[in-house]
Amino acid sequence: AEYMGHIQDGVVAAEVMWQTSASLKAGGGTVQDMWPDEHSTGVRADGKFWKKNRQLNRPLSPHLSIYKPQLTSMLSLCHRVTGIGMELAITGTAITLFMLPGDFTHYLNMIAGLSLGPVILTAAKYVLAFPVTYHYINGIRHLAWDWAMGFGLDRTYSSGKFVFCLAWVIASCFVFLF
Amino acid sequence: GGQSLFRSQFASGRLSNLLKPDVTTKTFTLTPVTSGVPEYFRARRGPYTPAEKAGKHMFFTSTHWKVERIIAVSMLGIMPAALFIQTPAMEFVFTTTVFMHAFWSLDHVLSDYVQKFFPPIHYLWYAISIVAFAGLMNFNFNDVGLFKAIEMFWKL
Repeated sequence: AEYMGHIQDGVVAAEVMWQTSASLKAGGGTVQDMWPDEHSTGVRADGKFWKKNRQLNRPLSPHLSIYKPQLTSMLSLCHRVTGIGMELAITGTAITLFMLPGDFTHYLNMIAGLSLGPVILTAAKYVLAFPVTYHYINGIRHLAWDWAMGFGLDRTYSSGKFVFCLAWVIASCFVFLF
Repeated sequence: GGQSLFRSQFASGRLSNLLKPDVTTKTFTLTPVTSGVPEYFRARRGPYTPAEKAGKHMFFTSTHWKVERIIAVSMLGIMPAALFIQTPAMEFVFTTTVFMHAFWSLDHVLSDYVQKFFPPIHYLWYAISIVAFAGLMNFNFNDVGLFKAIEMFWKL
C-alpha cells in the first residue's frame, strides 16, 4: 500500500486513532458522534494504548536535547518562572510568618544579626526587585498580545529585547537608589 | 540497533552519518509499567469529550478571563501608585490584587503541568491560598504591614 509517497511492505498504510460508529455507518453521523465509544475501532479506541507502549519500552524521540532556545521562548519561560518564584515567596512568607510566634521585626533583626556582606545584600535585593520589574513590564507585553497588538515576529523580538533591558535598568534603580 | 545501522550506513556510502550519535539507542522511555508508580498518578491524556471538560462553574471561562485581565490592568496602575501612596487602604488594595492575580496564575500553571497527574491539586492550592491570604491580612493589620516591611528590609 502507498503511504506518504513511500511503498511500505506489510505495514498498515495509516493507523487511525479511532474510528467511531458514526464514521463507520453510512453518511457519517453528526459531530456529536465523533468521539470514541464502545463500538469504536482503531489504535487508541480500546484504552490500552499507553499501557501497551510502556510495556514495549520503545525509545522516546529526542525533545529537550535538541531544543533550540530562542528569545521568545526564553523570555516566556522567564515570565513564568519569575511569576511562580514571586508567588512561592509571597505564599511561603505569609504562611511562615502566620505560623511562627515572633513578629516581622523580630525575624528581620535575626537576619540583620547575621551581618551579611553588602554583595550578598545587593544580590538579595536584585533577587527581589528583578522578578517584579521583569514580570510587570513583560506583563504589559502580554496584555498587548491579549488585545492582538504586537504579534509580528520583528515586533516580538524588538519588544522582547527592550523589555528585558528595561527590567534590569529599573531593578538597578530600585536596588541602588532606594 | 547499532550494528545493523552501522552496516547499512557503511554499505550505502553515507559515511558522515557514522559520526552522528545513534539516536535509536537513546535511553529515554515512558515510565515503565513495573516502576511502582501508582496507576492514579499516571498522566491522563484524553481525548476528552466537551461534556467531560465542562465542569460546574459559576462564571463562563470567558468571563473569568475578563476579570483576570481587569485585575492585571488595574495592577499596572496600582503598583507605581504604591510607591507614592503609603496608606493602609492602599496596602490592602495592593496585597489583594497581587494575591488574586498570583492565585489565578498559579492555578493555570497547575492546570498545565500537574492536573494531568493529580486532578485534586486545584482544591489543595485553594486551601493553601486561603491560609496564605489569612497570613497576609494578619501581616497587614496586626504586624508592620507590607510597605513598612519592604522599607525595613531595604534599609539593611
